[in-house]
Amino acid sequence: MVKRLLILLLIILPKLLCLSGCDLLVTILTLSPFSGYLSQAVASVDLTGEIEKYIGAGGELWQNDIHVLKNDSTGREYVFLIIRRDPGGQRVYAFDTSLKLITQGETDFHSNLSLVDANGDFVVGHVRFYGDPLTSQSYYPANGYNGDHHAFSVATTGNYLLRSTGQEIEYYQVSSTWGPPTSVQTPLGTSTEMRLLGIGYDPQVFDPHLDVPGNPVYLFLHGGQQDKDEGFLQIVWTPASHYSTSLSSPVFSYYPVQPRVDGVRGDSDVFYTRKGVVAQTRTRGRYYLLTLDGEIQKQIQISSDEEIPLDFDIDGDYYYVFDEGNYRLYKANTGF
Amino acid sequence: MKYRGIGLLAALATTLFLSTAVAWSQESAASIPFRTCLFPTVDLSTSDEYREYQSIISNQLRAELKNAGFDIIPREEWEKVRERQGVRVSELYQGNVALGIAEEVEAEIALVSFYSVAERQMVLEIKCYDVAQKAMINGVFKIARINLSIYNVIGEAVTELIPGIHLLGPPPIVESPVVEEIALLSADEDAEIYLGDEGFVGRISEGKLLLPPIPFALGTKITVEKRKEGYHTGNETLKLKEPEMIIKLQPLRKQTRSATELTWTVGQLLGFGLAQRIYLRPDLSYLSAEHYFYVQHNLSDSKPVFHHDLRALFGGYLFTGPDRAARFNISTGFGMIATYFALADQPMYADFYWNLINVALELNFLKFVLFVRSEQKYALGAGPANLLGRGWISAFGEGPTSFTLGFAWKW
Repeated sequence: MVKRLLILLLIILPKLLCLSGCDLLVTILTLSPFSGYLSQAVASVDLTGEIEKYIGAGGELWQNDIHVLKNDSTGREYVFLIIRRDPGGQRVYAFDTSLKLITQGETDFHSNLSLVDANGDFVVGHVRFYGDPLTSQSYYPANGYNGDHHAFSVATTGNYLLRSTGQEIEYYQVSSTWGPPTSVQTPLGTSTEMRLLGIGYDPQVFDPHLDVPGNPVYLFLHGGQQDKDEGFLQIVWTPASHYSTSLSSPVFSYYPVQPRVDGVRGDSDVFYTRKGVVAQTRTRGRYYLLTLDGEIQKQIQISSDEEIPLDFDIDGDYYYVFDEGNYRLYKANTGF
Repeated sequence: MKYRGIGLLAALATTLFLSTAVAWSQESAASIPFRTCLFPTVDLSTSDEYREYQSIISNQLRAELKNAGFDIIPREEWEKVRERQGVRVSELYQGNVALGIAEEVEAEIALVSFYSVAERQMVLEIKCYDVAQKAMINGVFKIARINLSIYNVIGEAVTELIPGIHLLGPPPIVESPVVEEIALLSADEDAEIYLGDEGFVGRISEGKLLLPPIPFALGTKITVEKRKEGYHTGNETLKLKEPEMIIKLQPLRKQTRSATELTWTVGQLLGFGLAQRIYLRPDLSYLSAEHYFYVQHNLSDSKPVFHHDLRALFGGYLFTGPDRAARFNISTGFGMIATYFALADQPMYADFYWNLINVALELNFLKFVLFVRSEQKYALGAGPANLLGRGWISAFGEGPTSFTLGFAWKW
């Protein structure tokens, strides 16, 4: 009883203070050496057995990644955890949103692909998840789109993949059956075009996202100098219809480019949610919630100081992180 | 004997010459007609062979003094006193004897002279006293061979003596006020008080100690040392400004055997810590055990996570003694953070860490300490279930682990 009162006091008192609008005070009071997702967690699952079975109890070199994908037409949403052995292949685990493991698929090479494809199936790594109950099909698509592609799909026209070659940005238009690319374009074909104004170095990742058919495809261009925390983010609104014909070049002068957001990490992923865009700040583990115009709405502390794999659901209500040390997958409130 | 007669003549001639010179040079002394008691020269030689020098020296002195304006008291006058006092003439070379007679005849100056000859070498001494002060004013001391030059030596002695004759007058009164009374007030009952060279001077009783009368001059600085069982010895330097001083002494600092800390740490602000220090050496080194409980919460929609930070530290003080108002403290140790969740089905975690070093600045009050402490903790990543892995524990992402504000009550 006393302990509860104490906790209540510890929480209510600062809460009253923060009602006065002092965000800085809240930030200071909530600083912790422990990751923020621990107190945001609404569910978690221990995967020690599963993962050790795959990578070995000795814990050889391995990486992991998380993707949260939702098929809006069916309303089905899954969390995919990729465990990559190094050297070795990768295994993709599929969970429902209550973190119940449903199925898994495995390939003997790595792929970063993740999208709900034009058929409405979930393609993660090189595994296709389809049907109800969810079933996996490894080595899909067969044509080996397994590079550092960032992809989106349009149900009527097919799948679109973009990647940075380091020298240029190229994108492929691929049929809904994942046949050979029907179109390869280089909308940003020169290093001059690739350089964001005044930055002087190349964007490293392009994250396209098409949320609702008819809406623009939001291209998230972000980058930063190597070995430096300082980075930038620019959001370019591109019409989806142009991808099936031809993107007008140069992209930066032809399409609406939102004001550049500084103070973000250039080497970290950017996440699209319907509540805004989430990008990691220069302070490791702290994330901005941005509007599509690039304005900062909110900040949240997710991890302490380390880079952790995570992804947000499309609605922006939850994020999912994987604790590599304890092989535990967490589902946590965003608070957005 | 023949040559001795010539010698006497030469001496007289020399005396006359010197008399003139001295009279000229001592004009200022002559302007003050000191009443002078000139006693006959005493021959202290073992034989009578050189007795004639008595009169030579006496006469020369008499002549010079007169020339210089001294008022020579006639022998008849002091002779009566001498006889009454029972003093022999041969004793009149002694200063105290001569002063006794001179005082009775109300002389201002007394002048004695004596010599001794051995192996034809004369040792001559003439002394002049201020009667009122019973103090020697001037004196000459000469050594010479008995030959013709002896008269010159006598003349020189007299010449040197007379210019230096003047009354000393009463000794100057030193107008240096002293402290008459020093009272020390102290809350440290029974404390022993020591004063530099004086050593132990007393003990505080009923809050007060009246120091024994020691004539310290006003303005003097004295250092008081205070000793009491169970307390640190204290030193205080006091300036004595007034004849009667009432000085309130600073209280002694009790030797701290243990202290209880209340702490608040950045990165753990939704909680607090309690620690107990046990001093191995009072106020110098200690062992400490701490329990810091805090909640992790984002103050909006979190489910709280509970952390119990338990650690043991060894600490001590650098550069600064127990009596200093500000002290540097360092400590090191090991700890463990136990974590559990409000969320169901979560395991309990334990993060063991090395508290590499804590550096604190302490404000040292009599009963308590206020401190700010920088803490460096390194998570060891040990144990079957931990959350922090291996690395520096920091609430700031990078940089120092944390800062703590603390209060410690001394027991």
